[in-house]
Amino acid sequence: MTVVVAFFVSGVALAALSELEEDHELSMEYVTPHTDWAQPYILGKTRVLYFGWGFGPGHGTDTRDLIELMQRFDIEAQAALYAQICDMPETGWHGGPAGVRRILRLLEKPYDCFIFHAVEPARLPPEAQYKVLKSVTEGAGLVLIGADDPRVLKPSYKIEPVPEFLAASDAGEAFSIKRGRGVRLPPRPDIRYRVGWEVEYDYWIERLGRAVLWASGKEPPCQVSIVSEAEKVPVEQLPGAAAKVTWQWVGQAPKMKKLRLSVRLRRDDGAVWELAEADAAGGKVETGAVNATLPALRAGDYHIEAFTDVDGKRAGWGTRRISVTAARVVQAIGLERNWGEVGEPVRGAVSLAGPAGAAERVMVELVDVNGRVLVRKNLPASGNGAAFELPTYAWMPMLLRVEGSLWRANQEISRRYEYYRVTRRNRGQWNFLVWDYPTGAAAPWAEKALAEIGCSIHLHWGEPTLMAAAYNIAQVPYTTRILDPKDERGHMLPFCWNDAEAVEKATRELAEKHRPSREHGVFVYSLGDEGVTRGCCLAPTCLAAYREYLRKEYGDIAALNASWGTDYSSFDEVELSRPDDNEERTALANRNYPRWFDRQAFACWNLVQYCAKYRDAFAAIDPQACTGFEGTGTLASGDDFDLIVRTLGFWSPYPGPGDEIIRSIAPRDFPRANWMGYTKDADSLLRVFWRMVTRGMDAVWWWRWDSAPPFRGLLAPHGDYYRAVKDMVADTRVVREGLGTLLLHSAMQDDGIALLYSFPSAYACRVEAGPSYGAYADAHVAWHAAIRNLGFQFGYVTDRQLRLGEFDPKRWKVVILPRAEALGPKEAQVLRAFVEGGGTLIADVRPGLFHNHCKPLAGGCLDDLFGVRQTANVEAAVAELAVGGLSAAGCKVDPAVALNGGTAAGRAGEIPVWISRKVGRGRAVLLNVSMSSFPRAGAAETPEAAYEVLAALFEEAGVKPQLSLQTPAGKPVRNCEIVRWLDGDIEVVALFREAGPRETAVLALPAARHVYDLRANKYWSKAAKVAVEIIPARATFLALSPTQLGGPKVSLSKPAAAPGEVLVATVAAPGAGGQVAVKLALTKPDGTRANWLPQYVISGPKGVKVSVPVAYNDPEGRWLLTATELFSAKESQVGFVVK
Amino acid sequence: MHKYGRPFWGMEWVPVIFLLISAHSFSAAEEASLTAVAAVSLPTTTTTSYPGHEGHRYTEQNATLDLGKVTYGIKYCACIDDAHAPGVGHLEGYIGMPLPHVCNWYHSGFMRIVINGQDIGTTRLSSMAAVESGERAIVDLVWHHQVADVRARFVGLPGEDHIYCELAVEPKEEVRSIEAHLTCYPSFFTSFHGRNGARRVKTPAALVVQDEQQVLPVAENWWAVYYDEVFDVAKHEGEGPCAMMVLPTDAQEIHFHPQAYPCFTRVVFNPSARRLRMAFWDFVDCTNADVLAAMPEEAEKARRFLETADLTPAGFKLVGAAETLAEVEEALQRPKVREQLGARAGEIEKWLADTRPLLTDPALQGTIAGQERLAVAVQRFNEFVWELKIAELLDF
Repeated sequence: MTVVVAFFVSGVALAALSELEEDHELSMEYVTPHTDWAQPYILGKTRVLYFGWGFGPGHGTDTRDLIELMQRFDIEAQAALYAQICDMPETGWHGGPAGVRRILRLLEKPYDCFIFHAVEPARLPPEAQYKVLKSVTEGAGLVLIGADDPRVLKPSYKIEPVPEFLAASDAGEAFSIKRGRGVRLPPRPDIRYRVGWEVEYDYWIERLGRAVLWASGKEPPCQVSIVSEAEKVPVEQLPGAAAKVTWQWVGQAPKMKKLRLSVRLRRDDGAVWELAEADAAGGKVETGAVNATLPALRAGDYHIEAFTDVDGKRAGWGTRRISVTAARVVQAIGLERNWGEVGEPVRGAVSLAGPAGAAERVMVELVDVNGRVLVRKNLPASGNGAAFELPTYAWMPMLLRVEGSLWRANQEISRRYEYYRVTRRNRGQWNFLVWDYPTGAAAPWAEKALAEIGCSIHLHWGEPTLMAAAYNIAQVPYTTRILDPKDERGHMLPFCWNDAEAVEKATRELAEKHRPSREHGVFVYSLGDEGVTRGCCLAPTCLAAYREYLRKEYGDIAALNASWGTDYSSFDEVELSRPDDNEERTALANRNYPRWFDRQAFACWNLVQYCAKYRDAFAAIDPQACTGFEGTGTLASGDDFDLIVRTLGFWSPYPGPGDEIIRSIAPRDFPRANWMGYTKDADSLLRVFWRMVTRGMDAVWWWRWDSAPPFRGLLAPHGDYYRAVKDMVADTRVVREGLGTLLLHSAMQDDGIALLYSFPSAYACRVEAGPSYGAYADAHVAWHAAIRNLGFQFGYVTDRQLRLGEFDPKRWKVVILPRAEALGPKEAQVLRAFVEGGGTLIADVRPGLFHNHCKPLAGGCLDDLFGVRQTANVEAAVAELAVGGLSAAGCKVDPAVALNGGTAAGRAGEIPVWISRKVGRGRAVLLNVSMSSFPRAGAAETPEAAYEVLAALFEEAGVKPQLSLQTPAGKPVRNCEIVRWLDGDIEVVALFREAGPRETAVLALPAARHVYDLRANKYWSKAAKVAVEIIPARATFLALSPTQLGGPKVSLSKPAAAPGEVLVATVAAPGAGGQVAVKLALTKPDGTRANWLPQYVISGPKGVKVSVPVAYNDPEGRWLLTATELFSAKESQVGFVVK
Repeated sequence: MHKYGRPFWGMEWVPVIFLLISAHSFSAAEEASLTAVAAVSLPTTTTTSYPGHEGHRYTEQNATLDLGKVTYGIKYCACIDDAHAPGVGHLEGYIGMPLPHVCNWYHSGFMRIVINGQDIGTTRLSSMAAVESGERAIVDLVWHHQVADVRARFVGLPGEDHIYCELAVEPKEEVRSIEAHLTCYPSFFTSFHGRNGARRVKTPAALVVQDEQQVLPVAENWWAVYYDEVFDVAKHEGEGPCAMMVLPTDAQEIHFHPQAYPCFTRVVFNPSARRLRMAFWDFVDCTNADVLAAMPEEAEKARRFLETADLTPAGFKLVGAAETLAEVEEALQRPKVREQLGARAGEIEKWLADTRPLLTDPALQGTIAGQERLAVAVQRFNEFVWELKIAELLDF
């Protein structure tokens, strides 16, 4: 019964939490290592109302301090969080008026203590201040951390000396506030990531806990004191020095079964020794003492910690700091360089200080963040130093410690370390990029949480953090942001992009600033987000560049004059229409479209050339640099997709149809993604996530790790994931388990269908009658929907590829011209040849009415191919289109089209549509209808006939769907993408409906295949038809294989390994017709999971090698390596012995 | 009302859920459902490129009425460029409803108020204020037009799914006509997305189909559901319908003109009426059938509320209590309180002297202009009261 109730409470809480409440939730699910200082506590729970920063730059983990406090102390808390609104200077209580009302509601309940963390009480509305202060004056506690309230914590109210319980841990200044108590603590210390940061943090929370208990009047009833023989103990006296621990009840001890005293020693790096334990019962519980003997220790700082527990509840505790000293110590680790590429050796020297002793030796080690000693070398201790050189390998993590230790016989005397980074870029794999990195004392816990859901890259300005390296997270440095501000003369600020000297200096200096990033490992160098994709100015240097650009474009001045209608005698004479008209608006107004377009094209080109200067500068500091920009650029704005992809190293544009172009024309290793994270429910997040996967991205980029109201981050203020994030993470698990990377190694299919992205057409469609046919981008979007709803896939080619001879006609069966209104003679020639060679060319409307500089032509340059005459550039006629069995009202058709050899299969009024003509071995089809006005593919009201007339075009071109989705009743399922990837003979299929109803469908295959459903986790045996669940916003992935996947095979180079040895595992998928993802798990002798192997590998029948390093301090015993193939879930295991 | 779009099991568990939550000592969710919160942002000014207003200064100010399970948004927007001086211009309207969804009641202009044929929105908004939160959320918008002072008061109750609207009119000349011109895009922005819908307006007595125009008596057509037969949540299309009601005693006739894209409604009020009450629903995620089935009862409940409710903000009624003022003034005289407050004591005293007439004169508080001043005064007065109480509290 208990279980059932708990389930409902949990479920209810999930369902009932409002957005504001979820933002203020104090989830304790994410448990981090901690000391239970007073948890559970003999005096019961302390009720706390916490006020602190929850949202805002630099405050992302502040609230986690409260969770950490609640882990360590028996506290029941509510929180009211302070916030800064995204991109705004204003701050206030989160939720605005609703948040304030919530505070007032919370203040209707009683509390033992109020905590204000870095927020002054005076920031509360007066009514809330009054209620807090009234409660305090009546007996509650007030704890201010890094905050003050001089009205309340007056010097005259100060308690001096500070009560012993507070003074013992420097837990702040104490005040008496009428019947209540107050404590003022300094700001939380700046605890940086390093070995043992957790110990310092643990002690900070211990101070805070003392303050809360004292302020609440709930000091421990059992006082524990520790007296050591000396605060500084020479290493030579160990083992042996003793400490006396006593306990004494304040007042009468309560009735109890048993009191237990436990004493431990904790080094500042977290290493722990249990020193003593004693039980007392009956009349011996009031007071008592034990002696604790210290073991052999190396020099360093330690705490003796003692606890008394009564029947399982903490009754008191005490701590004492001691130092172990040595005359001879490791003074420093000097590194030649604190970073290096994989394979580069670590060189340096260990420096010693103090009088040398007998039988000394120096050891130098490479240690990972788990404390595993990966490389070890003994050095002769000659004098005061020892040089070393240690190897690095590809299997090593990004962050290593180079540790030098001094030993006398088998006793460690002293140790020091320095961090060393193995540069890693995390390329060639599926990535999850997160904007910015966690800050605050609890930041490493936040970083761990991010890493556990796959965060492999951070994008941020500034130097990469050590903790990022600790979790193998590479960086995208946000190096600059390219905008195009200009001065009053119209010159670009701070300099013209063509001012070679200024650009060289700026780019070089910027690159130099980012050397720390380069050393850490840069996935790509970002030139910023929300920037511009074009730019030019009126500076003379820019005009000179413009002239040079025109010279290259036109070749000779006569061609330019013919295009522009000018009479320049040389390119040096070329000017703007008006000296102040940077964008050639004059030319546009005068309908001199070539002159206007050339300026736009130059602006695009100019931006790319400017970015290329940064690219080169970063390449100078990092030969593997990839440079580009993100969150910038759309198809609708007429960006030069081809030039950007061709010139730069990466591009993550705004989500949209442009993504299709990039995935088609960019090399597979060209990084691309979209930003997401701007919504708060799982479905809308998943819709964007899965869209990126099915659009062939290599990563998901998430804005951002913490919350910046009104947006939410990955982590809630309590430090765990938001609920919607948990749902998203669960639904996309397979991507992180290897599917994402497998898709990068597989070929996305295109069914031989190419769309043309014609850069000049994006501009030609905006002039004359073009806008009446709809927007250029809308035509592309309509074609995408139509093709996908017919069960096909497609790729893109560009006009530049056609001009440069990069178009391979054998690769394509169908080329589609979406609103390709501007075509140059070379492009036209390539398209003609394609048709004559057997291809099918389909244009929607108005093909080739302009040349490739947007000069209007007398007719369409491909009119003869289509068998038509386009007699004028006229507004669209809106008419009812009738073709085949389709009758569709509201279609926009070109009334100026007349047949001239072509055959019209349909009409829109009197206007011919669906005009086709056989040419050579191929066919050209002019639909003569704007696709954005054609019945929208995927829409519920779109008649089947619309699909049928389109499908007939492709069928006639020899293109048939490879797979089909049907309802159980046999009707086609629309509004669902079928995306296929192929590697060898294994086909991976995604079924993805962005929005719409959930339904069960039947997927029909061309031939029987072994089918593996990753969503249902089901193997269908060999089947030609399988039932699949179409779930809106959630992609279903299937693997189809002609042979049954027999599961992985894993073997090892040796059955046993000595410490320091590296075994080599071979992971293969015997019998598989292509590559598969194989998950790896390494189990230690005690049954726990090791986390240092790659989570998965991509392998095939031949197998891949995986290094299995055995550390010098790995536990002895039998280890188990398990390989699980992702599709079939079949396992293979191999064991090895460490001895 | 939003339950109509959800599966039955969700309703079935409501009592169980409530009991379990109540048992939890720190369940804020339970408390949240008991309050409604009104909030108003600061106005923002940008430059618009809207055709006909290129380069003009454009202002926006947003309010929210958070009712717990749904939040309504009210937006004031106007082109305040000198080109329109001494009045203001409009792009698509001036009272928008951007929440719960941008479609349905139009986000950038769903209502215009026209008196004697003059659109009061040609005058710049005098104030927009959140005047009550808690048992009700209330937001006031006030215009001082040459024809009349006008206040649009939007009211929401915790846990409800609709908002009420009261138009108050204080004429400066003889009122011959009062009209509200309403615009909605039911369920979906059809034309914007290149889609065709089938707009419908259903009243208690009539069904008006797309492209029809009908003028109907309010007595028999006092509420209307605006829906689209294509964009129906039941078909996994669109956002859900919207609806309105007008208190039948306040109005004479109602004009409906559902077009392929927007649907226009014109309510002709009684010229002698000075408090005109309506209600608006935005049924996000609800199916047409559920809304059409539920609306007669929902409208009836709203009508009964509007017939009797006193929509004056609670704070306006309390603040004038002479004894509260006297307590404040007395507290201000205490030396230790003055010492705690420092210079602030003088500021409060001056403010109280200046504002006393407003705080104590019921006649002044009953006017649109008076309540407009009261909206500011109440907030400050409350702050002073709490500041004084803190000063007294810390006097030990």
